[in-house]
Amino acid sequence: MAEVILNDVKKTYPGGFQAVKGVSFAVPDGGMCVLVGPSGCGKSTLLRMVAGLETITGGDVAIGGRRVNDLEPMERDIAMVFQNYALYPHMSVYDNMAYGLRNRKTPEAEIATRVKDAARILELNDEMLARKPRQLSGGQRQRVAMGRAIVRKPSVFLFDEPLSNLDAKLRVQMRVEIRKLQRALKTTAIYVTHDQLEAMTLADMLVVMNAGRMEQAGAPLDVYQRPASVFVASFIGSPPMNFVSGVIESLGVVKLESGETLPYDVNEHIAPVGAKVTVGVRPEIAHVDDNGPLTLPVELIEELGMGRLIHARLGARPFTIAQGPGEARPASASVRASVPPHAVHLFDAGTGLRV
Amino acid sequence: MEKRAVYAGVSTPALLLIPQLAIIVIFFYLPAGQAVWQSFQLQDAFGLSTIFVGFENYRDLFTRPEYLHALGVTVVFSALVAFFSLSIALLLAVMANKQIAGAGVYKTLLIWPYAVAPAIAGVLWLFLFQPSMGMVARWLQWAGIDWNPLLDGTHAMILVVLASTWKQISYNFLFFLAGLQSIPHSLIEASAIDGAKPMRRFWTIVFPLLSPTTFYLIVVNVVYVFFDTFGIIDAVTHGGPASATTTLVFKVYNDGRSGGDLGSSAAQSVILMIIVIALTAIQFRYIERKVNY
Amino acid sequence: MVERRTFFSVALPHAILMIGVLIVFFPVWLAVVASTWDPATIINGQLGLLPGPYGAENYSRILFSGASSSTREPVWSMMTNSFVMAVGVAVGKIFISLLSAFAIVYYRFPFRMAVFWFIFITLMLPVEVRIFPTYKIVADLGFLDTYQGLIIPLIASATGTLLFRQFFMTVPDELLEASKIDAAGPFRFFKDTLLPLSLTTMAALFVIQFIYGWNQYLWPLLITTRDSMQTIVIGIRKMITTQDALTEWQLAMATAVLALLPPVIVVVAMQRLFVKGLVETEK
Repeated sequence: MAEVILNDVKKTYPGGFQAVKGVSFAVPDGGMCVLVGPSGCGKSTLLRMVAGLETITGGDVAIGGRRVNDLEPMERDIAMVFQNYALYPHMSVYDNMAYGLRNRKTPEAEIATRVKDAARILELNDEMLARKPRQLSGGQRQRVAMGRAIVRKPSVFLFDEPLSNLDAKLRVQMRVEIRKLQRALKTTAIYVTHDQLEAMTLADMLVVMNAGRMEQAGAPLDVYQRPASVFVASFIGSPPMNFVSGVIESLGVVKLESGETLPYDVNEHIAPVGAKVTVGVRPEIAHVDDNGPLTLPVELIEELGMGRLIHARLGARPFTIAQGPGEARPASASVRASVPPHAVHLFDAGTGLRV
Repeated sequence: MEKRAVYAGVSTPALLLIPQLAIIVIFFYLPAGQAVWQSFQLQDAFGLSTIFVGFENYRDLFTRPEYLHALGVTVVFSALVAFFSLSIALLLAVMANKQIAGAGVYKTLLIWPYAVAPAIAGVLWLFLFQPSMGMVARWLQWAGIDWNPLLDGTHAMILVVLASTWKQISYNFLFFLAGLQSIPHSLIEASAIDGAKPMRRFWTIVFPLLSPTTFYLIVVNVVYVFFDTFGIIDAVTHGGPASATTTLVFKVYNDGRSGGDLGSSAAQSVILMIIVIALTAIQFRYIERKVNY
Repeated sequence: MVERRTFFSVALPHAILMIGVLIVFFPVWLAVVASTWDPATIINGQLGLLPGPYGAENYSRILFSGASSSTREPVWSMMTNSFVMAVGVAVGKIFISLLSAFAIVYYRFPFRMAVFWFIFITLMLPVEVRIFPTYKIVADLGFLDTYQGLIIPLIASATGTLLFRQFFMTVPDELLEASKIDAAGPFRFFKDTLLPLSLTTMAALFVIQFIYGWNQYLWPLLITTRDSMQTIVIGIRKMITTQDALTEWQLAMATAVLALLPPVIVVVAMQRLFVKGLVETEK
């Protein structure tokens, strides 16, 4: 059990490329921190630096109050689950799980107990323990990779996109299992993914990364409701947030490039009159309203079963409205829509940061 | 391409490399260097003193008719063996690649001569063509041909070409078969839909797609003829009659063994090295181009 | 399938392949036949296509007492020499190339690429082109007529190193990372993970190198002078270099059969490994 603290952690490769440009955050003991971002944003590199698989070229990483920058992976008391599982193909499932313990000179009896416990938790039966990894299905391999991590009883679990090799259905199932397992074991965990839904559902603490920087860190709902930048707003949430340009017309009112005006919550945003802003509206919060201020020519309607997506235009920009199952499908070629003031997000047009 | 996860340290990799490096320094770089060094030197008749003579040994070689003759023999020999072993192997590979019953059995039955030592292959063929009692030799004599590879240079050449080709077919066959199997079947089908008849399909689709394999094999076959056939020639003809089958490697060996001119012998070795390096370089350039496109 | 299945399109390939197989087998079959006859039948040109009654006699004579006119060395001892040489070359090469490939792929050290090229270049020059200087070095080391003299110079090449390097590059990085997290150092990783995974590659290289070692000619010809150190390929050459009339062909052919049998058995029995080794070491 341990807290993980990153303080201005940097990674510069010998060629001069900066993969991570100074990231700081703290994962509380027993917390589940999810690093999310597009590929190449530095999230995996950051995780690998915590694991000790990449050297840290700037800043500090501390696990359980101990600075680990110069420690080997095996000395850091961590366990890792890899995207491709990295199971030893020539060893049985049992030996895969036991290997790390054997290397640490754990008595065989103790190893047997721990492996059996892990197998029971992960629902791997004895017959599976005797098999080689290639004789298992993708989901089973995933469990073995998890098992290898939990038998060690480490202070920190590190997950590097562990579900991305599974098919969609299994992914949802394993996501739930990982969450339950981590809660039950109360082990601090850092989890890397590019899937925002996975990130939202798993995290106690969400860290959104982009181009080697941390864009925002916080509880998933906070990040969703108050995205710190256009990038975070567009990355978290599906379908992605709609964006249009606008100018603050008066206190509490923004005028869109298409000519309409929208009220916004002055407790949320502080912006001088005349400031150029990017206005963001989540598709699931905008709703069809015959008296709404926005007029949107409809281009296409996608039926999803659990609702529908109305692909429309607001001036020159695409604008999507997500409807729930109970709502009526618009019949006309153009709809009117409204947005509650608290759901109007304003970002500085130049920096992209929330105002 | 490089590994992402690696170990640090200098002394461990150094220790791991020592056996290999020691062996190649002592048994590769040292002798190769010595050959180059000696090729620029002239030794007096008693081997008591040596002087540096620059390219004298090389100039001298290329004025000697017997050296030029050996060069010519090597070129003819390589061309014949490469041509026959490649054509026959390609024919057999194309046939074995057809979806016929027992294709795997044919493959096994055709590849084993690779494992036969060149010298042994030579002896086997010599036995067939030995003029006084060889079975094939008797057939030839019965057909009115005065067959005698011990006296007739052309006959001797035919014999070593036969033995060398026989041994090389299996290797070429394997690579051609692998090359053929890597051609996507959809291409053949597409050309059939485009109206190409089987022969035309082969020459316009299959053969061009096989060209990297063919090119690679040509180089390997030439290298094979240059070096590996030494055993065949030494066992069958000893380079004779009248040097009709003396190749460059055989000449290096023969001149070197009879002692005498160390510098000249070294120069011959160096020329061989240059030829192999050139062939290998061509091959790598070509493979690189293939990889890039 | 594009081809229409006419009688011709099925029969022709079979016919061509059978002719090919016959030609490939013919000389070896005749050697087998000759090794079972007496000298008179052969010298008088009366040899047919069927084996004769003298097989047991011929084989037991050369195996255990040797052909009289040229060499008295029994073929059995020649085969032992060939075997030691072939296994020595194969094992030696696998050993040194495993170590050097591990160092080159899994370590970062100064001049790593220079070392790689230093080894790589040896791929280009077969032993034949540097034969006399190598001979002199081996003589100076006192290795003439010894197994180490037969074996070590033939190990000096890059084929094995390149093959293992190529294989190691395909081993996922994550396995090494998982080992690091599982508290396995470089040697544990090498022993517990890399070696077991390399078994097929090692076996393939073994097959190729065994054949290469067994079939060596020029090198053993030069450095062995004592009959007791002869390899079988050299031994057979001595049997037929004497005057034609004196060549005991039935014994020479029996020796030839014994000389080609072990590597041919290896190729046929381990065909899959052989093809893998051949295609991967050469490309």
